[in-house]
Amino acid sequence: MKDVQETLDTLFPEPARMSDWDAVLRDARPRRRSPVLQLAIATGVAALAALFLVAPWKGAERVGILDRALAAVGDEPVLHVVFRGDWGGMLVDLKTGDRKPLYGEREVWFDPDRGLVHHVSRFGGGVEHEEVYKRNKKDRELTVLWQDYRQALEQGTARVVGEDVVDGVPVYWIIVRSLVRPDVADDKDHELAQQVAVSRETFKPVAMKYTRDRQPTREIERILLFETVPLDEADFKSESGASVSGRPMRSCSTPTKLGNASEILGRAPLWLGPEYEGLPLAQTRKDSLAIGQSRDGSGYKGGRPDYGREHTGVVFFYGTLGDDPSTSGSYTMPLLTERYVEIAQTTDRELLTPGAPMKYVPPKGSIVVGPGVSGYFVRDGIYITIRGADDKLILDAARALRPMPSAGSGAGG
Amino acid sequence: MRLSRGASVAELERVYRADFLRFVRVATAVAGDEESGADAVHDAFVRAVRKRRSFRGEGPLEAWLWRMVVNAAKKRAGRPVELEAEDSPSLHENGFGDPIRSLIASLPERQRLALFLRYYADLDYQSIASTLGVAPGTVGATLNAAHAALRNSLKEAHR
Repeated sequence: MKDVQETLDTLFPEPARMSDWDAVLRDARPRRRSPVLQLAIATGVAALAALFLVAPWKGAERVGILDRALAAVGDEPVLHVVFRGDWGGMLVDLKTGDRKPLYGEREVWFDPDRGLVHHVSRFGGGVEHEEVYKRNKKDRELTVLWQDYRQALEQGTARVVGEDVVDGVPVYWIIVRSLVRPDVADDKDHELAQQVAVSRETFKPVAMKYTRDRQPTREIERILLFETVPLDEADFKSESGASVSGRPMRSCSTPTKLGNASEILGRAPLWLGPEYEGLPLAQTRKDSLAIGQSRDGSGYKGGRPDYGREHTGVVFFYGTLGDDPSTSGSYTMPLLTERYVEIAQTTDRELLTPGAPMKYVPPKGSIVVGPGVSGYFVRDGIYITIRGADDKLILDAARALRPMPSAGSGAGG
Repeated sequence: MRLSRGASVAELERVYRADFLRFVRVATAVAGDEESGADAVHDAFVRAVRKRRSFRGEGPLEAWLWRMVVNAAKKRAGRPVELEAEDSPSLHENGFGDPIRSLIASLPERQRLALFLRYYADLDYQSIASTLGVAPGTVGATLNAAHAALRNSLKEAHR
């Protein structure tokens, strides 16, 4: 057979050519334009044309960007995305005052064929919330990423509209969908658009935003991971115990005597004394919470729930009490419109405390100051939430907390 | 129920980059010249990217792509304006280029394609069978016939 091999080798020797995958992708893109883009053209978005004339990403380079973005989407049947959560806070070192931003993460697995979504919220690595459900209207971002983005790239309607740096990542912003709509407020046409930012290095989506006349209408959504995966590599199993979403809850907050605080907490609580920075300890309350589950203990599926064990905690309110307008009696309530600080504490992690993540434990000596006026930290095995009139009051109170003497006295309920 | 497995762009790119020169060589042999061969490979992969979702996954992706390349090359071979008027210099230099080339051109299409896929693409019988859409046993018989015809021609040329 050697003679045949040599003959054929001579006849058509191995070519010395360079492959050109970019050219393949460029020519594979359909030339059809969508009605949306036609509308945009018809309405004469002159500013857009002017932008392209001066933009460095025009022409062939723009085509290359969109081709690479399409290639980076992947073709596996399940979308796997990790968004940076938008409900973070600042981790503050109580000793040095150093601050570090904290973000939650939302991991989503989406199977468009089954319309199934597996949603996991994490904070500091711990699962805060998890559920598997059928896709609904709130999953608009998934439709944008899975359907609109891919279609716009495939059909040639996507447009590169700018370069940017998002959290240190150099990106191209791509308009996925746009509409020109009149606004009765000023009787002018405005461009409403969904934009996706792709990394200039990997061409994978790293952020998305909604814009009106190119200005964001809400905060940019960061995408930490974007990939498509085979069905057998996707995760649609939910840790059912991890979420309390959708389960009935029975909560109660009732004034009590200060002397009951240790008994409710099961140990000596932390407090700020009978008065703190001119604010008297005006009220002590017992907080309680019971989370419903089905009577077989398998998580709530409807029907009459079994509330099981009651989780309890103690609240110290320093500030001013006023009349409770919702009652006809002489009941009073904390006035949050005045200067105040409120310490809620529990040794029972299951007790939901307003503004605090359920599972995350800040490092020792640190506190998470939330987007609102609340702080959350753990000290000596006690989970503590502090609400206050301002950030400084919260941090100072966290530093000043000390164990309450067993024979404490002062304001009661 | 999923009707087709589909192929990802990344998978296509992997095969394209790994086997590009083999694709061009086979396509050149089928189309008649390297320019047409390279264009055929380009055409085939453009089509593969566009049609990637219709890949049913019933055989290897490579076989699906080889079929596309061979079909694109056959289409290119049918365009007379893209065929070179003269053989390449190397064929003239060794003294028997023209007769061999003529003989290969005169082989039945299946024999010719099996030969190219075996020697230029280094495919095994199973892959050649998948590409040509024939039974694996047929590939052996087809190659035997092509070898016999080629050997006879080579003997004639060396006399």
